Amino acid sequence: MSVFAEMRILVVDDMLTMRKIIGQQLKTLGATSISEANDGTTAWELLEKEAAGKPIQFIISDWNMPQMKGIDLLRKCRAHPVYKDVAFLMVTAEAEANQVKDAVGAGVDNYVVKPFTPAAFEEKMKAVYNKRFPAK
Amino acid sequence: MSFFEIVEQGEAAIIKCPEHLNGGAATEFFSLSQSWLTAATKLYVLDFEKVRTLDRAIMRPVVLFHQNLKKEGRFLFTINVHHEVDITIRANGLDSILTPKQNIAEAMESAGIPAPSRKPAIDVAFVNPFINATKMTLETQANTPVTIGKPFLKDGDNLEFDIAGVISLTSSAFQGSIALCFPAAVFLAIYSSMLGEKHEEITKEIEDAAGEILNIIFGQAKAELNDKEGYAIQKAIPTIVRGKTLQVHHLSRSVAVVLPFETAAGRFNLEISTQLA
Repeated sequence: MSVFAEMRILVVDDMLTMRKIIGQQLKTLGATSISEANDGTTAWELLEKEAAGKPIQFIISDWNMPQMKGIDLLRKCRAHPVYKDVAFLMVTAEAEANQVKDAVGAGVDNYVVKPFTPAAFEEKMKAVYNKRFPAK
Repeated sequence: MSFFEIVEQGEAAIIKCPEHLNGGAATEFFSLSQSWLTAATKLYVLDFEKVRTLDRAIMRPVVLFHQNLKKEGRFLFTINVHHEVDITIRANGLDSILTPKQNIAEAMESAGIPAPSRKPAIDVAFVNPFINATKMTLETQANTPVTIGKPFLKDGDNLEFDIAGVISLTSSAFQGSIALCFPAAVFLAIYSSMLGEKHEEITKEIEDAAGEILNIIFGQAKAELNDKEGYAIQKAIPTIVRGKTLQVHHLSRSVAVVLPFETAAGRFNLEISTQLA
């Protein structure tokens, strides 16, 4: 069974097209529990709501969104008792050197640069999974 | 390691501030400001992009710095101030000291400094990153091979399309816009290749693909132009316009260059227009 099959995953992107692309690729990887949010503020509301029950375990977030940006969502997660260790993959179309440095400083687990192939996405997903859920 | 990073741009200097403007940062700011005051720099801009907290400790050295600059007819402004930080600034009555500006260009204009010389001629070095990014984006994300046709200067606004993604092109030296323009048949074919969904017409549900494709092209080209060529193009979020026989009118009065791309389903254009800020 896929390691992503039972995992609660949240996809955050202001563009429906990109949420669909990521959703399709997650399903190909075996994911079945996928939630979506169209900006960081909506994502945070969902995360707080779910924190007391069965929290989100893996977040895939766009960087550049109106209202709360991906990096601000990441910072809020890392400062939250439930989500401080949540798996976090940043998706960005802007891989400038200073931006990557900021993301690493804020505690991102990995990032995937758009445009990406399904193989590149799978590789990043697995790298984040292996970092956050190491085999015991 | 220093809390502050300073980037000089002719008569102006941008001071990139740390995430927390606390006591340690205040001590260093006071010390650095003594040397900044001896420089001939006419304008200092505090870049608050990373700033999340602003302690009272930083306020005194900043006020002193501002007073000393003002005495000599020099200027201090802020850019990229987050909402929460702005509230703190206003609550402490510092909004006349830490006057916010939209961007470096606006700060320089307020200080009476002409725009810096780094400006885009629409030449090969400026246009090539957009061509490469368009090919890579369409081929990688949308499984659509493309070939570039011969670029040409736009003559009036007589090119007609059905949907376009538009994004602003802004830096300290220039501003303009980029438009990615599709006939409906080409857009629908690209969408089908990208998501495996066939649609007969462009609907609200699928229209944002024009913005997302442009967003990826812009991000790729911007990274190359900023990191390798030294432009400071700012982030932007695309908008989508749709209609029958749409015409794109760029805001700037300068001539736009049109990059025509051929796909199996037909042609689409990327239009780049710039004007000095």
